[in-house]
Amino acid sequence: MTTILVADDDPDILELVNYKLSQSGYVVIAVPDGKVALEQAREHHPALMILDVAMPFHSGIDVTLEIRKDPDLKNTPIILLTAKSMEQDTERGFAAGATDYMTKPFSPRELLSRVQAVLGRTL
Amino acid sequence: MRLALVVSVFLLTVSIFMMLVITVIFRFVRTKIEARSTAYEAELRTMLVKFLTEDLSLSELQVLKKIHSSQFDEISEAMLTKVKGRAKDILVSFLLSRGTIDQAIQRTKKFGCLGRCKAAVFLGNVGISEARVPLESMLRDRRREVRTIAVRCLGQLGKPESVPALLAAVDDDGHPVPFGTVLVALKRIGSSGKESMKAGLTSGGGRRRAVIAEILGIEGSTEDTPDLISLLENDPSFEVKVRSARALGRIGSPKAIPSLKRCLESDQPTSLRIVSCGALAAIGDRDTVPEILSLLNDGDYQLARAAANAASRMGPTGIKHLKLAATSNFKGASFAKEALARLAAQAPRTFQD
Repeated sequence: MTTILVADDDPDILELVNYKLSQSGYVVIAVPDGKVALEQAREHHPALMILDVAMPFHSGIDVTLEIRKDPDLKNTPIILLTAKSMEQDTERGFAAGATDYMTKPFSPRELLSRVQAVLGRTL
Repeated sequence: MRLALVVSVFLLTVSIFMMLVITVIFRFVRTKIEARSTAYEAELRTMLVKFLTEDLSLSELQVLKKIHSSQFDEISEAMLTKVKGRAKDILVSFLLSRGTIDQAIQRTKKFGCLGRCKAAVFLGNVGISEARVPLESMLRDRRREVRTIAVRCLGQLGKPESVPALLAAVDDDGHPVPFGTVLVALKRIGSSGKESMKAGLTSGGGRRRAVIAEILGIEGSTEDTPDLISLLENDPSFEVKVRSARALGRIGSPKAIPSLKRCLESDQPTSLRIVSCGALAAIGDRDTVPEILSLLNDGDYQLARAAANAASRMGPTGIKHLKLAATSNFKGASFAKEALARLAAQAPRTFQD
Protein backbone atom coordinates (compact mmCIF):
# COMPACT_ATOMS: atom_id res chain seq x y z
CA MET A 1 0.00 0.00 0.00
CA THR A 2 1.31 3.44 -0.94
CA THR A 3 1.38 5.94 1.90
CA ILE A 4 0.71 9.62 1.25
CA LEU A 5 1.17 12.35 3.83
CA VAL A 6 -1.21 15.32 3.57
CA ALA A 7 -0.68 18.49 5.60
CA ASP A 8 -3.20 21.34 5.61
CA ASP A 9 -4.54 23.55 8.40
CA ASP A 10 -7.96 23.78 6.74
CA PRO A 11 -10.05 20.85 8.03
CA ASP A 12 -12.36 20.94 4.97
CA ILE A 13 -9.48 20.49 2.55
CA LEU A 14 -7.71 17.96 4.77
CA GLU A 15 -10.85 15.85 4.94
CA LEU A 16 -11.55 16.13 1.21
CA VAL A 17 -8.01 15.18 0.13
CA ASN A 18 -7.86 12.42 2.76
CA TYR A 19 -11.15 10.91 1.59
CA LYS A 20 -10.43 11.18 -2.14
CA LEU A 21 -7.02 9.51 -1.81
CA SER A 22 -8.22 6.83 0.66
CA GLN A 23 -11.07 6.04 -1.73
CA SER A 24 -8.47 5.42 -4.45
CA GLY A 25 -6.62 2.90 -2.30
CA TYR A 26 -3.86 5.01 -0.76
CA VAL A 27 -2.99 5.01 2.92
CA VAL A 28 -3.28 8.64 4.00
CA ILE A 29 -1.66 10.33 6.98
CA ALA A 30 -3.49 13.63 7.47
CA VAL A 31 -1.88 16.27 9.69
CA PRO A 32 -2.89 19.87 10.49
CA ASP A 33 0.51 21.62 10.49
CA GLY A 34 4.04 21.62 9.14
CA LYS A 35 5.75 20.58 12.35
CA VAL A 36 3.71 17.39 12.72
CA ALA A 37 4.12 16.79 8.98
CA LEU A 38 7.91 16.69 9.40
CA GLU A 39 7.68 14.35 12.41
CA GLN A 40 5.28 12.01 10.61
CA ALA A 41 7.37 12.04 7.42
CA ARG A 42 10.47 11.01 9.39
CA GLU A 43 8.53 8.25 11.10
CA HIS A 44 6.55 6.81 8.17
CA HIS A 45 8.63 7.66 5.08
CA PRO A 46 5.61 8.36 2.83
CA ALA A 47 5.80 7.77 -0.93
CA LEU A 48 4.44 11.26 -1.57
CA MET A 49 3.68 14.41 0.40
CA ILE A 50 0.93 16.96 -0.32
CA LEU A 51 1.60 20.18 1.56
CA ASP A 52 -0.27 23.42 2.02
CA VAL A 53 2.08 26.44 1.83
CA ALA A 54 0.60 28.67 4.54
CA MET A 55 0.48 26.50 7.68
CA PRO A 56 1.18 27.14 11.35
CA PHE A 57 4.68 26.52 12.79
CA HIS A 58 6.37 25.40 9.54
CA SER A 59 5.14 26.52 6.10
CA GLY A 60 4.95 24.03 3.24
CA ILE A 61 8.07 25.67 1.77
CA ASP A 62 9.97 25.20 5.07
CA VAL A 63 8.90 21.55 5.22
CA THR A 64 9.99 21.03 1.59
CA LEU A 65 13.40 22.56 2.33
CA GLU A 66 13.80 20.34 5.43
CA ILE A 67 12.77 17.23 3.49
CA ARG A 68 15.27 17.99 0.74
CA LYS A 69 18.03 18.27 3.35
CA ASP A 70 17.15 14.94 4.99
CA PRO A 71 19.21 12.10 3.44
CA ASP A 72 16.42 9.54 4.05
CA LEU A 73 13.60 11.65 2.62
CA LYS A 74 15.27 13.88 0.05
CA ASN A 75 13.83 11.94 -2.92
CA THR A 76 10.23 12.03 -1.66
CA PRO A 77 8.03 13.76 -4.24
CA ILE A 78 6.18 16.78 -2.89
CA ILE A 79 3.07 18.44 -4.29
CA LEU A 80 2.38 21.93 -2.95
CA LEU A 81 -1.32 22.71 -2.72
CA THR A 82 -1.84 26.38 -2.03
CA ALA A 83 -4.00 29.45 -2.45
CA LYS A 84 -0.89 31.41 -3.53
CA SER A 85 -1.25 31.59 -7.29
CA MET A 86 1.20 34.31 -8.28
CA GLU A 87 4.03 33.45 -10.65
CA GLN A 88 6.67 34.20 -8.01
CA ASP A 89 4.94 31.89 -5.50
CA THR A 90 5.13 29.00 -7.99
CA GLU A 91 8.78 29.83 -8.65
CA ARG A 92 9.48 29.86 -4.93
CA GLY A 93 7.81 26.48 -4.50
CA PHE A 94 9.78 24.84 -7.28
CA ALA A 95 13.00 26.51 -6.11
CA ALA A 96 12.46 24.95 -2.66
CA GLY A 97 12.31 21.52 -4.31
CA ALA A 98 8.61 20.84 -4.93
CA THR A 99 7.81 18.24 -7.58
CA ASP A 100 4.47 19.77 -8.56
CA TYR A 101 2.36 22.82 -7.65
CA MET A 102 -1.41 23.10 -7.49
CA THR A 103 -3.47 26.14 -6.63
CA LYS A 104 -6.67 26.40 -4.58
CA PRO A 105 -9.54 26.22 -5.36
CA PHE A 106 -8.64 22.78 -6.61
CA SER A 107 -10.36 19.90 -8.30
CA PRO A 108 -10.13 16.66 -6.25
CA ARG A 109 -10.10 14.68 -9.51
CA GLU A 110 -7.21 16.71 -10.88
CA LEU A 111 -5.31 16.26 -7.63
CA LEU A 112 -5.76 12.49 -7.87
CA SER A 113 -4.51 12.51 -11.48
CA ARG A 114 -1.46 14.49 -10.46
CA VAL A 115 -0.77 12.17 -7.53
CA GLN A 116 -0.97 9.18 -9.86
CA ALA A 117 1.27 10.88 -12.41
CA VAL A 118 3.90 11.85 -9.84
CA LEU A 119 3.88 8.40 -8.24
CA GLY A 120 4.01 6.78 -11.68
CA ARG A 121 7.18 8.72 -12.43
CA THR A 122 8.88 8.00 -9.13
CA LEU A 123 7.81 4.52 -7.97
CA MET B 1 -27.60 47.09 63.77
CA ARG B 2 -25.10 44.31 64.29
CA LEU B 3 -27.67 41.71 63.21
CA ALA B 4 -28.39 43.68 60.04
CA LEU B 5 -24.65 43.71 59.23
CA VAL B 6 -24.34 39.96 59.76
CA VAL B 7 -27.41 39.34 57.57
CA SER B 8 -26.05 41.56 54.76
CA VAL B 9 -22.64 39.85 54.84
CA PHE B 10 -24.41 36.49 54.77
CA LEU B 11 -26.60 37.50 51.83
CA LEU B 12 -23.62 38.89 49.96
CA THR B 13 -21.64 35.66 50.48
CA VAL B 14 -24.60 33.56 49.36
CA SER B 15 -25.15 35.66 46.23
CA ILE B 16 -21.43 35.48 45.31
CA PHE B 17 -21.51 31.74 45.82
CA MET B 18 -24.66 31.42 43.71
CA MET B 19 -23.08 33.49 40.94
CA LEU B 20 -20.01 31.26 41.00
CA VAL B 21 -22.19 28.14 40.78
CA ILE B 22 -24.19 29.61 37.89
CA THR B 23 -20.98 30.57 36.02
CA VAL B 24 -19.51 27.08 36.49
CA ILE B 25 -22.75 25.43 35.29
CA PHE B 26 -23.00 27.82 32.34
CA ARG B 27 -19.39 27.13 31.29
CA PHE B 28 -19.87 23.39 31.66
CA VAL B 29 -23.02 23.41 29.53
CA ARG B 30 -21.42 25.66 26.92
CA THR B 31 -18.33 23.42 26.66
CA LYS B 32 -20.57 20.39 26.24
CA ILE B 33 -22.65 22.09 23.54
CA GLU B 34 -19.51 23.27 21.72
CA ALA B 35 -17.96 19.79 21.86
CA ARG B 36 -21.16 18.27 20.52
CA SER B 37 -21.41 20.87 17.79
CA THR B 38 -17.75 20.31 16.77
CA ALA B 39 -18.28 16.55 16.69
CA TYR B 40 -21.40 16.97 14.63
CA GLU B 41 -19.65 19.43 12.30
CA ALA B 42 -16.93 16.83 11.68
CA GLU B 43 -19.62 14.27 10.87
CA LEU B 44 -21.36 16.71 8.51
CA ARG B 45 -18.04 17.53 6.86
CA THR B 46 -17.44 13.84 6.17
CA MET B 47 -20.93 13.62 4.67
CA LEU B 48 -20.23 16.64 2.47
CA VAL B 49 -16.91 15.19 1.30
CA LYS B 50 -18.64 11.89 0.43
CA PHE B 51 -21.30 13.85 -1.43
CA LEU B 52 -18.70 15.84 -3.38
CA THR B 53 -16.82 12.69 -4.36
CA GLU B 54 -20.16 11.15 -5.46
CA ASP B 55 -20.19 8.47 -2.78
CA LEU B 56 -23.39 9.84 -1.27
CA SER B 57 -26.52 10.74 -3.21
CA LEU B 58 -28.71 13.79 -2.77
CA SER B 59 -31.57 11.61 -1.46
CA GLU B 60 -29.30 10.28 1.29
CA LEU B 61 -28.72 13.85 2.44
CA GLN B 62 -32.47 14.43 2.86
CA VAL B 63 -32.35 12.48 6.14
CA LEU B 64 -30.68 15.46 7.82
CA LYS B 65 -32.80 17.13 10.48
CA LYS B 66 -33.69 20.79 9.91
CA ILE B 67 -31.28 22.09 12.58
CA HIS B 68 -28.40 20.08 11.10
CA SER B 69 -29.24 20.87 7.53
CA SER B 70 -28.65 24.58 8.14
CA GLN B 71 -25.25 23.72 9.64
CA PHE B 72 -24.64 21.55 6.58
CA ASP B 73 -25.49 24.50 4.32
CA GLU B 74 -22.93 26.63 6.17
CA ILE B 75 -20.18 24.05 5.64
CA SER B 76 -21.19 23.73 1.98
CA GLU B 77 -20.98 27.50 1.51
CA ALA B 78 -17.50 27.53 3.04
CA MET B 79 -16.45 24.71 0.71
CA LEU B 80 -17.49 26.76 -2.35
CA THR B 81 -14.26 28.76 -2.32
CA LYS B 82 -12.07 25.70 -1.91
CA VAL B 83 -13.03 23.42 -4.78
CA LYS B 84 -13.49 23.67 -8.52
CA GLY B 85 -14.39 21.39 -11.40
CA ARG B 86 -16.88 18.56 -10.89
CA ALA B 87 -16.88 18.96 -7.10
CA LYS B 88 -17.95 22.60 -7.40
CA ASP B 89 -20.62 21.73 -9.98
CA ILE B 90 -22.07 19.17 -7.55
CA LEU B 91 -21.99 21.70 -4.73
CA VAL B 92 -23.69 24.41 -6.81
CA SER B 93 -26.45 22.02 -7.99
CA PHE B 94 -26.98 21.01 -4.37
CA LEU B 95 -27.27 24.63 -3.23
CA LEU B 96 -29.63 25.36 -6.12
CA SER B 97 -31.81 22.38 -5.17
CA ARG B 98 -31.94 23.59 -1.56
CA GLY B 99 -33.02 27.05 -2.67
CA THR B 100 -29.94 28.58 -0.95
CA ILE B 101 -29.03 30.56 -4.06
CA ASP B 102 -32.56 31.97 -4.47
CA GLN B 103 -32.50 32.93 -0.80
CA ALA B 104 -29.18 34.74 -1.32
CA ILE B 105 -30.67 36.63 -4.28
CA GLN B 106 -33.53 37.69 -1.99
CA ARG B 107 -31.01 38.75 0.67
CA THR B 108 -29.39 41.21 -1.79
CA LYS B 109 -32.45 43.42 -1.13
CA LYS B 110 -32.39 43.05 2.68
CA PHE B 111 -32.33 46.09 4.93
CA GLY B 112 -29.11 45.18 6.75
CA CYS B 113 -25.91 46.17 4.99
CA LEU B 114 -23.97 43.15 6.33
CA GLY B 115 -26.65 40.75 5.06
CA ARG B 116 -26.45 42.28 1.58
CA CYS B 117 -22.64 42.08 1.60
CA LYS B 118 -22.73 38.41 2.66
CA ALA B 119 -25.27 37.62 -0.04
CA ALA B 120 -23.07 39.30 -2.68
CA VAL B 121 -19.98 37.38 -1.54
CA PHE B 122 -21.93 34.12 -1.63
CA LEU B 123 -23.25 34.83 -5.14
CA GLY B 124 -19.72 35.68 -6.30
CA ASN B 125 -18.43 32.40 -4.87
CA VAL B 126 -21.23 30.40 -6.49
CA GLY B 127 -20.18 31.83 -9.84
CA ILE B 128 -23.31 31.03 -11.84
CA SER B 129 -24.83 33.28 -14.54
CA GLU B 130 -28.02 33.79 -12.50
CA ALA B 131 -25.95 35.76 -9.96
CA ARG B 132 -25.00 38.43 -12.50
CA VAL B 133 -28.22 40.47 -12.60
CA PRO B 134 -28.70 40.74 -8.80
CA LEU B 135 -25.02 41.66 -8.41
CA GLU B 136 -25.32 44.31 -11.13
CA SER B 137 -28.34 45.84 -9.41
CA MET B 138 -26.23 46.05 -6.23
CA LEU B 139 -23.94 48.47 -8.06
CA ARG B 140 -26.60 51.11 -7.30
CA ASP B 141 -26.91 50.14 -3.63
CA ARG B 142 -27.16 53.01 -1.14
CA ARG B 143 -24.05 51.82 0.77
CA ARG B 144 -20.59 52.22 -0.75
CA GLU B 145 -19.22 49.01 0.86
CA VAL B 146 -22.02 46.95 -0.71
CA ARG B 147 -21.33 48.48 -4.12
CA THR B 148 -17.59 47.78 -3.75
CA ILE B 149 -18.23 44.14 -2.85
CA ALA B 150 -20.66 43.81 -5.77
CA VAL B 151 -17.94 45.08 -8.14
CA ARG B 152 -15.45 42.59 -6.70
CA CYS B 153 -17.94 39.73 -7.01
CA LEU B 154 -18.80 40.62 -10.61
CA GLY B 155 -15.09 40.38 -11.37
CA GLN B 156 -15.01 37.00 -9.63
CA LEU B 157 -17.98 35.90 -11.74
CA GLY B 158 -16.01 36.91 -14.84
CA LYS B 159 -18.94 37.33 -17.21
CA PRO B 160 -18.26 39.70 -20.15
CA GLU B 161 -21.94 40.74 -20.03
CA SER B 162 -21.13 42.63 -16.79
CA VAL B 163 -18.70 45.01 -18.51
CA PRO B 164 -21.29 47.71 -19.48
CA ALA B 165 -22.71 47.73 -15.93
CA LEU B 166 -19.21 48.03 -14.40
CA LEU B 167 -18.30 50.86 -16.77
CA ALA B 168 -21.56 52.65 -15.99
CA ALA B 169 -20.79 52.25 -12.26
CA VAL B 170 -17.43 54.03 -12.70
CA ASP B 171 -19.25 57.03 -14.18
CA ASP B 172 -22.10 57.07 -11.67
CA ASP B 173 -21.44 60.09 -9.45
CA GLY B 174 -24.53 59.35 -7.35
CA HIS B 175 -23.28 55.86 -6.45
CA PRO B 176 -19.47 56.06 -6.66
CA VAL B 177 -17.36 52.89 -6.65
CA PRO B 178 -13.58 52.68 -6.16
CA PHE B 179 -11.74 53.05 -9.46
CA GLY B 180 -9.11 50.42 -8.54
CA THR B 181 -11.73 47.80 -7.63
CA VAL B 182 -13.45 48.24 -11.01
CA LEU B 183 -10.04 47.97 -12.68
CA VAL B 184 -9.32 44.66 -10.94
CA ALA B 185 -12.79 43.34 -11.77
CA LEU B 186 -12.40 44.19 -15.46
CA LYS B 187 -8.94 42.66 -15.44
CA ARG B 188 -10.42 39.43 -14.06
CA ILE B 189 -13.08 39.39 -16.78
CA GLY B 190 -10.19 39.62 -19.23
CA SER B 191 -10.14 39.67 -23.00
CA SER B 192 -13.64 38.18 -23.34
CA GLY B 193 -15.04 41.57 -22.27
CA LYS B 194 -12.81 43.62 -24.54
CA GLU B 195 -15.39 44.30 -27.25
CA SER B 196 -17.89 45.71 -24.72
CA MET B 197 -15.07 47.70 -23.18
CA LYS B 198 -14.02 49.25 -26.48
CA ALA B 199 -17.65 50.11 -27.22
CA GLY B 200 -17.53 52.16 -24.00
CA LEU B 201 -14.83 54.41 -25.46
CA THR B 202 -17.37 56.32 -27.52
CA SER B 203 -19.86 56.97 -24.73
CA GLY B 204 -19.95 58.01 -21.11
CA GLY B 205 -17.65 60.09 -18.97
CA GLY B 206 -13.93 60.49 -18.55
CA ARG B 207 -13.56 58.01 -15.69
CA ARG B 208 -15.00 55.29 -17.91
CA ARG B 209 -12.49 56.01 -20.68
CA ALA B 210 -9.69 56.25 -18.11
CA VAL B 211 -10.44 52.77 -16.77
CA ILE B 212 -10.64 51.37 -20.31
CA ALA B 213 -7.28 52.95 -21.23
CA GLU B 214 -5.71 51.43 -18.11
CA ILE B 215 -7.11 47.97 -18.88
CA LEU B 216 -5.98 48.11 -22.52
CA GLY B 217 -2.48 48.94 -21.28
CA ILE B 218 -2.50 46.05 -18.80
CA GLU B 219 -3.73 43.64 -21.49
CA GLY B 220 -0.81 44.88 -23.63
CA SER B 221 -2.13 44.06 -27.07
CA THR B 222 -0.57 46.08 -29.94
CA GLU B 223 -3.88 46.07 -31.82
CA ASP B 224 -5.21 48.55 -29.24
CA THR B 225 -2.47 51.09 -29.99
CA PRO B 226 -4.56 53.18 -32.48
CA ASP B 227 -7.43 53.51 -29.96
CA LEU B 228 -5.05 54.61 -27.24
CA ILE B 229 -3.25 57.07 -29.55
CA SER B 230 -6.64 58.56 -30.42
CA LEU B 231 -7.44 58.94 -26.69
CA LEU B 232 -4.04 60.50 -26.03
CA GLU B 233 -4.43 63.03 -28.84
CA ASN B 234 -8.11 63.90 -28.74
CA ASP B 235 -9.65 63.11 -25.36
CA PRO B 236 -10.79 66.20 -23.45
CA SER B 237 -10.04 64.55 -20.08
CA PHE B 238 -6.55 65.02 -18.68
CA GLU B 239 -6.80 61.77 -16.65
CA VAL B 240 -7.62 59.80 -19.82
CA LYS B 241 -4.61 61.30 -21.59
CA VAL B 242 -2.24 60.38 -18.73
CA ARG B 243 -3.55 56.81 -18.49
CA SER B 244 -3.42 56.41 -22.29
CA ALA B 245 0.22 57.55 -22.33
CA ARG B 246 1.10 55.04 -19.62
CA ALA B 247 -0.83 52.29 -21.43
CA LEU B 248 1.04 53.02 -24.66
CA GLY B 249 4.32 52.65 -22.76
CA ARG B 250 3.17 49.29 -21.41
CA ILE B 251 2.19 48.05 -24.88
CA GLY B 252 5.50 49.27 -26.28
CA SER B 253 4.50 49.81 -29.90
CA PRO B 254 6.79 52.27 -31.78
CA LYS B 255 3.66 53.61 -33.54
CA ALA B 256 2.94 55.59 -30.38
CA ILE B 257 6.28 57.45 -30.40
CA PRO B 258 5.21 60.54 -32.44
CA SER B 259 2.13 61.13 -30.23
CA LEU B 260 4.13 60.62 -27.03
CA LYS B 261 6.82 63.01 -28.29
CA ARG B 262 4.17 65.66 -28.86
CA CYS B 263 3.12 65.22 -25.22
CA LEU B 264 6.65 66.20 -24.12
CA GLU B 265 6.18 69.74 -25.44
CA SER B 266 6.22 72.59 -22.96
CA ASP B 267 2.55 73.54 -23.48
CA GLN B 268 1.44 70.18 -22.07
CA PRO B 269 0.70 69.62 -18.34
CA THR B 270 3.72 68.46 -16.34
CA SER B 271 2.14 65.15 -15.23
CA LEU B 272 1.43 64.19 -18.83
CA ARG B 273 4.99 65.11 -19.84
CA ILE B 274 6.40 62.98 -16.99
CA VAL B 275 4.27 59.95 -17.85
CA SER B 276 5.04 60.31 -21.58
CA CYS B 277 8.74 60.43 -20.74
CA GLY B 278 8.41 57.09 -18.88
CA ALA B 279 6.32 55.63 -21.72
CA LEU B 280 8.96 56.54 -24.30
CA ALA B 281 11.61 54.93 -22.10
CA ALA B 282 9.46 51.79 -21.85
CA ILE B 283 9.18 51.64 -25.66
CA GLY B 284 12.95 52.02 -25.67
CA ASP B 285 13.63 53.56 -29.08
CA ARG B 286 17.24 54.85 -29.01
CA ASP B 287 16.40 57.76 -31.31
CA THR B 288 14.18 59.30 -28.64
CA VAL B 289 17.01 59.57 -26.07
CA PRO B 290 18.22 63.07 -27.12
CA GLU B 291 14.66 64.35 -27.04
CA ILE B 292 14.07 62.92 -23.58
CA LEU B 293 17.36 64.29 -22.25
CA SER B 294 16.63 67.75 -23.63
CA LEU B 295 14.06 67.90 -20.83
CA LEU B 296 16.97 68.11 -18.34
CA ASN B 297 16.99 71.80 -19.24
CA ASP B 298 13.35 72.23 -18.26
CA GLY B 299 12.59 74.51 -15.37
CA ASP B 300 10.42 71.86 -13.67
CA TYR B 301 12.73 69.73 -11.53
CA GLN B 302 10.25 66.81 -11.41
CA LEU B 303 10.28 66.58 -15.19
CA ALA B 304 14.06 66.87 -15.37
CA ARG B 305 14.45 64.08 -12.82
CA ALA B 306 11.91 61.89 -14.70
CA ALA B 307 13.84 62.47 -17.94
CA ALA B 308 17.13 61.40 -16.33
CA ASN B 309 15.51 58.29 -14.86
CA ALA B 310 13.88 57.45 -18.20
CA ALA B 311 17.20 57.72 -20.05
CA SER B 312 18.87 55.48 -17.45
CA ARG B 313 16.42 52.71 -18.44
CA MET B 314 17.19 52.96 -22.16
CA GLY B 315 20.26 50.75 -22.39
CA PRO B 316 23.81 51.71 -23.45
CA THR B 317 22.63 54.61 -25.66
CA GLY B 318 20.67 56.13 -22.79
CA ILE B 319 23.60 55.76 -20.40
CA LYS B 320 26.04 57.22 -22.92
CA HIS B 321 23.91 60.33 -23.39
CA LEU B 322 23.30 60.53 -19.66
CA LYS B 323 27.06 60.58 -19.00
CA LEU B 324 27.46 63.39 -21.53
CA ALA B 325 24.60 65.30 -19.91
CA ALA B 326 26.14 64.82 -16.44
CA THR B 327 29.31 66.63 -17.50
CA SER B 328 27.51 69.33 -19.51
CA ASN B 329 26.24 72.67 -18.33
CA PHE B 330 22.62 71.47 -18.50
CA LYS B 331 20.44 72.85 -15.72
CA GLY B 332 19.53 69.31 -14.74
CA ALA B 333 23.05 67.85 -14.95
CA SER B 334 22.76 66.94 -11.25
CA PHE B 335 19.76 64.72 -12.05
CA ALA B 336 21.82 62.93 -14.69
CA LYS B 337 24.53 62.32 -12.06
CA GLU B 338 21.90 61.11 -9.61
CA ALA B 339 20.47 58.63 -12.15
CA LEU B 340 23.94 57.33 -12.97
CA ALA B 341 24.76 56.92 -9.28
CA ARG B 342 21.54 54.96 -8.78
CA LEU B 343 22.40 52.72 -11.71
CA ALA B 344 25.85 52.05 -10.22
CA ALA B 345 24.32 51.26 -6.81
CA GLN B 346 21.84 48.84 -8.37
CA ALA B 347 24.45 47.02 -10.49
CA PRO B 348 25.04 43.39 -9.47
CA ARG B 349 28.21 42.88 -7.44
CA THR B 350 30.58 39.98 -6.96
CA PHE B 351 31.88 38.98 -3.53
CA GLN B 352 35.24 40.61 -4.37
CA ASP B 353 33.46 43.95 -4.80
